Amino acid sequence: MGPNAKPRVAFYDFTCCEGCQLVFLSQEDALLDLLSHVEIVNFREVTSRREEDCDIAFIEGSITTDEEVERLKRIREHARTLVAFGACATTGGVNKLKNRRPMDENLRMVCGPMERYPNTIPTLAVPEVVRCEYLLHGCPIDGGELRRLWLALVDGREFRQPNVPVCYDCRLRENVCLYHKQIVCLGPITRSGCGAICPTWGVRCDGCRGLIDQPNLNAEHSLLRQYGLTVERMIDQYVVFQGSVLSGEAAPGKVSFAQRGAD
Amino acid sequence: MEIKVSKVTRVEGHGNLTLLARDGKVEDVRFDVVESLRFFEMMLLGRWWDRVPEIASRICGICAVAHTLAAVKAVESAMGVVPGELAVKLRRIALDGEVIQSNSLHVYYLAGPDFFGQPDVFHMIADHGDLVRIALRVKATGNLLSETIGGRHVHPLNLVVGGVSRLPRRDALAALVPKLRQCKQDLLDSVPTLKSVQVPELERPTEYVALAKAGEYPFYDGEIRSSASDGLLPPADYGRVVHEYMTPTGTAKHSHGPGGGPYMVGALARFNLNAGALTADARQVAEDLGLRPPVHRPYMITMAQFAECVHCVDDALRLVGEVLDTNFRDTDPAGTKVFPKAGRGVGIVEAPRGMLIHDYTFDDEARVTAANQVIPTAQNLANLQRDLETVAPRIIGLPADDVRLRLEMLVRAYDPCISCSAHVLEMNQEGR
Repeated sequence: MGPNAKPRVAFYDFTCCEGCQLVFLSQEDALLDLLSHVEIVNFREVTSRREEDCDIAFIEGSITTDEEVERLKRIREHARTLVAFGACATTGGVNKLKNRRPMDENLRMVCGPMERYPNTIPTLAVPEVVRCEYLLHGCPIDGGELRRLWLALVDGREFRQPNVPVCYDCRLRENVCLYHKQIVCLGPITRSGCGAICPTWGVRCDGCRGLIDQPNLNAEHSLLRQYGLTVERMIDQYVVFQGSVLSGEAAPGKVSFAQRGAD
Repeated sequence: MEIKVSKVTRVEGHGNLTLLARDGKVEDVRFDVVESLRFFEMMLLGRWWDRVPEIASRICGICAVAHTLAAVKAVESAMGVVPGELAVKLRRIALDGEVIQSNSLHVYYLAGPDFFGQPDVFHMIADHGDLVRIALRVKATGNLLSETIGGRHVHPLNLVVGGVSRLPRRDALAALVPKLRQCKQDLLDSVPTLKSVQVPELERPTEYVALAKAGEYPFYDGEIRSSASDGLLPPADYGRVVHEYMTPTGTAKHSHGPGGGPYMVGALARFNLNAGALTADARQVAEDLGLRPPVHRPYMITMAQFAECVHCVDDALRLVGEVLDTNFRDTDPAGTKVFPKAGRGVGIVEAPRGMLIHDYTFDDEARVTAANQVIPTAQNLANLQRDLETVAPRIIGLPADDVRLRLEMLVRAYDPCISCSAHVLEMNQEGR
């Protein structure tokens, strides 16, 4: 990239609902400004232009077929910087729910009898397949955080994701703690940056942004127990976005639910 | 001639377009959904009732409000819960917002560039800057409606079983009024431009299916009406309308209607069945754009979507006024208490792309034992296929690039939401 050239930006989607690219397109008041700093070279949902080489590749969605593994590796080769954005990409998101059963059972039960089933593999998050320079968490991503990352990338500045729990954001917004309303919540162990949007609307945090680096899972589990949850109900708390915690895939310290206080 | 478009651009999700012709004769033309399967039914099996809407919302980011509401209504129907009047009005506003957002996204961003010979909406800034700025404002207003009521427009938080989680602030609601008025003006200002564009010709009568409700142009609720039969069907009897089947080349189900053949859902189907209930301004705009029911021209779906934007702005203005006239404070409780129990419930709404059905069965613990979702795009696929087969022989004499563009435009006209259609297939399985 020459000194005056604009960074070439590509957006790619894999298995997901495409809601996170919609969050990007929904930055209406800033969209034209954001776009003026870059050249969009690939973005299937909005443009017919398709070029491979780029400075920054945004990857949305989980990796759920053999073909997607290969496609992602090829994109990595053509991109200087790779950003996984949205829970499906950063942690596997809801797509990891399907990993709780064998793939052949999933196929048989969903498609019924077929001669040849479509290919499917256990859901992988993007960092489980290729190196990622940045992760932008959330289901969906937070628009403000996306703007901050975008400008940091364009200016060549460092971008750091927050490493404090959602409770921190909740305090700043002066929310009444949901536990006081008898609603259990994963806020104490979940990475903030969302402005605690769910608790602010009176809805429990489901941990869509993944765990903070050193979550106090024991404390969270005893809290859940204190509020009368059975082990099965506790597992259900985690299962929507935190399936990886249960299967021991969580990055920090390979924490498994069974080992850490669910007994 | 061989035309292969892998992953058609400017549609939601992944679909391939293929045309094979020899000596000027079309041998094969098809649109295949190749989206990876997501197994939502398997994700939902065994989940408790209160998890269903939030997981179901993740089927689609563009029509997340519709999916959330269809799931919420299905759970409410299974549990015998009746939401309050105020909550229902708020839900309707959120859904109006989603129709404005999704329809305008399609008209201006996805289909629009074809009319101006541009690869995307951003390249239209140079020659059609005003139109692009209008597009941004209109779509933003749709988002704002869903956001003000639902907390956010992608995967709304506030639309919960029993009502809404929290009532919105009155000042936030009042702030919607000037935005909606501006949006209405922006839409009316776009009419001359839309009138001037050349819409490809294709006329093929088919069957139309949509919700119907006396005196309304319904999105939130109603009964099922088909242009091929008299009378209305209650939502729970959707199985008598929708006959789904798998094809060997794709990953989404196709559908036959009660007339025995393909049918259409979505903006044009709604318009053909309910045009009389559009607001006066929306009716006028529809007429200005050349729409008089019945319209059998699939390329005109885009224009019907535009007329619906006008209708939804009018409808939202009316509803916001009614809500503001209601005596409430944002700290008041906003939901009906839910007593979980076993049962089966069907929830039905008009998503932007057409009739959307969610169907769940719960056991004694109120956990899901069966899940089925009938997706608008999956219902449209067989009809789109028939249109492709009709148009291809007529245009095969054109240069290959023109044939490709014309076929792509037909696919885009349907505004297919492929993530939805491939992610959801019927399943019925006892146990977890």
